Amino acid sequence: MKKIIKYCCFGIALFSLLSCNNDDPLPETPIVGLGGDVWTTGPIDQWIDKELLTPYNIEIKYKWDPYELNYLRNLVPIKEDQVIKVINAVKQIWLLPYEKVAGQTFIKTFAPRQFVLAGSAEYNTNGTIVLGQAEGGRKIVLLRLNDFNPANKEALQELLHTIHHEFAHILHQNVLYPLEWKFLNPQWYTATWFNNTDDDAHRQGLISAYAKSNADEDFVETVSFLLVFGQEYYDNVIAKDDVPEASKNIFRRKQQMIIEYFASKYKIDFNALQAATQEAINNYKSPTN
Amino acid sequence: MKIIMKNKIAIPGILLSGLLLLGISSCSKDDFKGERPDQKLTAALESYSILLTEAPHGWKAHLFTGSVGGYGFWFEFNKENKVSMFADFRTESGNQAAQSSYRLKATLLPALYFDTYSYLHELADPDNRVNGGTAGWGLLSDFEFSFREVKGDTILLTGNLNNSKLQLVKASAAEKAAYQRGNLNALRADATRFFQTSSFLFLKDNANTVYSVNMNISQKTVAFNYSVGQTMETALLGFAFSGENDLILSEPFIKGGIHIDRFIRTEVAGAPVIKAALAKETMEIQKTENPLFPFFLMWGSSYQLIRVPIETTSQGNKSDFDLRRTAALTAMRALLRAGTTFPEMRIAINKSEKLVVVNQIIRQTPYSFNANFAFSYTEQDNAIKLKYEGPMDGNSTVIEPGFKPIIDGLTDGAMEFDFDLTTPQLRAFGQSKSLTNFRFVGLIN
Repeated sequence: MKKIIKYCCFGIALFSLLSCNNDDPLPETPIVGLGGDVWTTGPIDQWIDKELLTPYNIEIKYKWDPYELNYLRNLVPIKEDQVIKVINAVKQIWLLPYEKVAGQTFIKTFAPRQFVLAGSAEYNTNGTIVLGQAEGGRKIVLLRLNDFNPANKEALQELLHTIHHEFAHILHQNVLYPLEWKFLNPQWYTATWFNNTDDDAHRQGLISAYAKSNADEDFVETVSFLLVFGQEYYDNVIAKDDVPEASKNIFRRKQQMIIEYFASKYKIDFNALQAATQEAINNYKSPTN
Repeated sequence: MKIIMKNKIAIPGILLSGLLLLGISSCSKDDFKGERPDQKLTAALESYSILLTEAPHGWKAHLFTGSVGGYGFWFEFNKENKVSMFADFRTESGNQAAQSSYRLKATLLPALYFDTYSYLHELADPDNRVNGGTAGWGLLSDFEFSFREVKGDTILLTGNLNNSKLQLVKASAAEKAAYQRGNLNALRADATRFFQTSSFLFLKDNANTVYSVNMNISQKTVAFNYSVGQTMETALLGFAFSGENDLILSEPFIKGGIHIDRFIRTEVAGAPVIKAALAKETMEIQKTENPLFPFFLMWGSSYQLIRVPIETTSQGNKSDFDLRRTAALTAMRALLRAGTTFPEMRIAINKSEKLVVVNQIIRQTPYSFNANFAFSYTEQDNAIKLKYEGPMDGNSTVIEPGFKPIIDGLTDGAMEFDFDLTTPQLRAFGQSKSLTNFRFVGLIN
């Protein structure tokens, strides 16, 4: 009796498996939205194609897409006439100096595949605002671009500071900086970094208040300040009267570690990169259109 | 033992019947005959796209935000994903069409995205210098909307983030022409002239019940006040300038014998006059020189602020206030850099929190800063007794020592607030019950 039941079971199972065989063709109509959103392209799209998408395979997403941003927060899209201003500055002051010093292969390997642009900053509940974000080495989000004016050097430096900051995240997410970095001044890392001024941070051997948030941010802030604000700025911070000798040494050690990190991990001459970036900022000309 | 045996048989029995069922059901060859959901969505997006782009004269748009205010737009969508618009909140937005982009996107519901920045986004901008709203949230507005309903010539949409309501109504050729010649600005100017008067405006129904009408043109709200027994109630609605002559309400105001959904500009003896209306059926807005309700009852709902000049005296001020005002001015100037001025203090009330906030405006051209001082209060026979709670921000902390003479005056005895009807402009005064000569007067809005 038991055997019969077993065979029955087996037979029915086999039968039910076979009976599911279905030769219906797959639907031919494409699924909505597969392959991304489409719109009629205009001069901005063509400019991006020519300058970044074709030569570097970098996509610029300037049209609003809430799912690329923090969709629980209230942000607004970028103004169309800001897009080329921003992207051109990014190309001239971030991409080309890296390409010049580190080479095309480096840029094509490590450059983020996508920039997402938005007009406003992202407002945190603690009163701080977010100006940019790097995600998984693949995407950089740039915010508060509607106010950007390339004729103003401070604005240019602020934007490029964000990009160099985020790109340095991508670099250390690929190969970590030396562990020693984390132990240079761990006592000053704090989640409430925004209660400090840059001057407070300088006395502690950190280049900015935000560098106090953790070792990763400290590393990328230091890289970005060295590149965008230049050696003179960095040296002036070290030379400040109220910066104690111990902190001055930390600053010098950090710069040394950055130079070694870029040379050993990425074969990049950091001093040459710094010079190229400074030259690009000082000679920057915005496109006239 | 027997019971256990039974169980042993019962289990294969259940299995068997389960498998049988599976076998039978899995053999069902009834193919799904309907349309796939993504096909339906594609069709819906296409139909909305055709609807939007084929309106021959564009769309009148009425947007009602989470901060109550209403905003009027005109949109014209083309097939190249571009949208032209006018908006009713600035001179430039009323007479210069701005072009940006839009697209339709399949999200939970078919959605309309205004995907690059234009006038519409100013309302939602988290930078509150743009719109005077809350930092991080602006005026609780939207620029991504889900389609909810299409009814005749009207499309109703809802904002995806802040749930604001957007109404699109097909415009006529005459309306399009009006928008293009800057009619939004003209309409706003006429409404401003009509509503900014020292008289008190009201609607009266057949039962002679009075509903006061208070327009706030800059915040785009209208408040209706009316008595219910011994208490006063307020209905606060948004309104949007629309088409040739309309001010559309966020929802109809229906109370007693009143049923209106808009205000309309008409002409009486060659001069523009605003009337209340339900569609085309109009109702006169009446005027009286006497307040309909005491100022204190309407403060915080119909009227937000008393704006008291600080750099200059104002008609109706008394000596003690002016002495304290000039003393405070001298002291505050000494605290900030040369050239700083202190144009006015704005007094606001929050009745649910029992708070009065005095905002001293600090002007350092081209910027203005707020310095907010908080007072709690208790009500004492037609007056309020203020208690100083302290500065609310960094600016007020800095100027507090200089502002002290005014704080002391405000907290000395109970303060009485009411309408001042001595000038053609609508103003209110504050009078100390203990310091006879501590009296100031300011514009209301």
